[in-house]
Amino acid sequence: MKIQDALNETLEKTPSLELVAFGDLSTGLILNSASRAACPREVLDLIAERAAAGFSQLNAAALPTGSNAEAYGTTVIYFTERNAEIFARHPEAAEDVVCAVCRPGTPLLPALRAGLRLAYRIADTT
Amino acid sequence: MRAGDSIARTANTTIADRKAELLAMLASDTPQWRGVGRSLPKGAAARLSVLANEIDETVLPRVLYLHAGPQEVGRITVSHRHVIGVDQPGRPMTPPDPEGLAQRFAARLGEIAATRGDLALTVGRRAAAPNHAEPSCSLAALQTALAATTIQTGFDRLQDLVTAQAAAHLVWSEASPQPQFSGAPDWTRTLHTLAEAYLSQGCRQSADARVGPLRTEGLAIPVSAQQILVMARLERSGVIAVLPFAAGLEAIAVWQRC
Repeated sequence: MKIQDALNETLEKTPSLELVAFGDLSTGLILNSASRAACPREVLDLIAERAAAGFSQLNAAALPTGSNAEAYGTTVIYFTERNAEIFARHPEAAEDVVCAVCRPGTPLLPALRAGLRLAYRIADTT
Repeated sequence: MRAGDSIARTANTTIADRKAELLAMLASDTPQWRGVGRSLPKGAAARLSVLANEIDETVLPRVLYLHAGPQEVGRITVSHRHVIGVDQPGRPMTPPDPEGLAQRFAARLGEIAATRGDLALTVGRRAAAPNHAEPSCSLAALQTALAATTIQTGFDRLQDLVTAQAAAHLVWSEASPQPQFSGAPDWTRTLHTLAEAYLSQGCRQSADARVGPLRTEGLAIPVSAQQILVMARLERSGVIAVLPFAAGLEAIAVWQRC
């Protein structure tokens, strides 16, 4: 499976998404993307920056007992009033990140599931 | 008398009557001389943008009436693209202080724009004759003041949404910079640790280490299949809360739609 095909397929199957991208957290680079409208490189760079900043907030040691350490660390959502971006990764491929940009005001759960599914799918096949 | 004279006299009378009617119409300020009402968009920022355009296009003295359903929630008096007054039912404006006029108008407009439900705008003529000595506020000054008011309203709304459903939350603000914890005690350490990291990240990103982002931004981090952490900040205010998973996601979407 090509990563680009998986991105295209996820975008097609998830109407609430505007853009899906695959990147590398260690370099802060987006390597592949699929979007409904043209997206400048600068915007992709900012998304990658936010993904890295979001995951840098995680501190599993500070979690109270009863929390699920596997769930904590696989997804982060960045949001403003007009924007929501979902970042998802496989626990064993922590530098590979899927970024999913949602239409504002749409339910986040389908996009979150789609992003996480895509991250696991890419991790399983690479 | 010729038939033509009679027709001309009748026509002149009709014109005179019509003129008198028009003058009476222009002199009156009865509600029927208000324009047709139109709906404003849902979000406070979008509503303020429509109102700013309306103010910018208003030269003759006018009153912008704002209604939520049948209830009037505010009226803005405008002339020559300047705002002269922002009145809310039951809250008459005290004698205006010209220096803080823009901030006071902006605060009131922010409250009106944040009205829940549908908001409609009707433009009417101003009953009182314009007084050139009365203090007024330019659109530019108002927009500068509104920039802060709008984003603060957005943050407050988000804070209300997340804290209402939170198992535990931590909030801080410019007035109360020390984070205040409330809720289940087993989250105390986690929320304080996260707040510390979140604030230090804000300091790194901001040119002024004391100030956070100029718009409300946040992160939501699932901690289990049942719970999610939602953190948001604006300038010197912030909130970190732990919510039921679905409620946390829904709160963000609802906040974006309002």
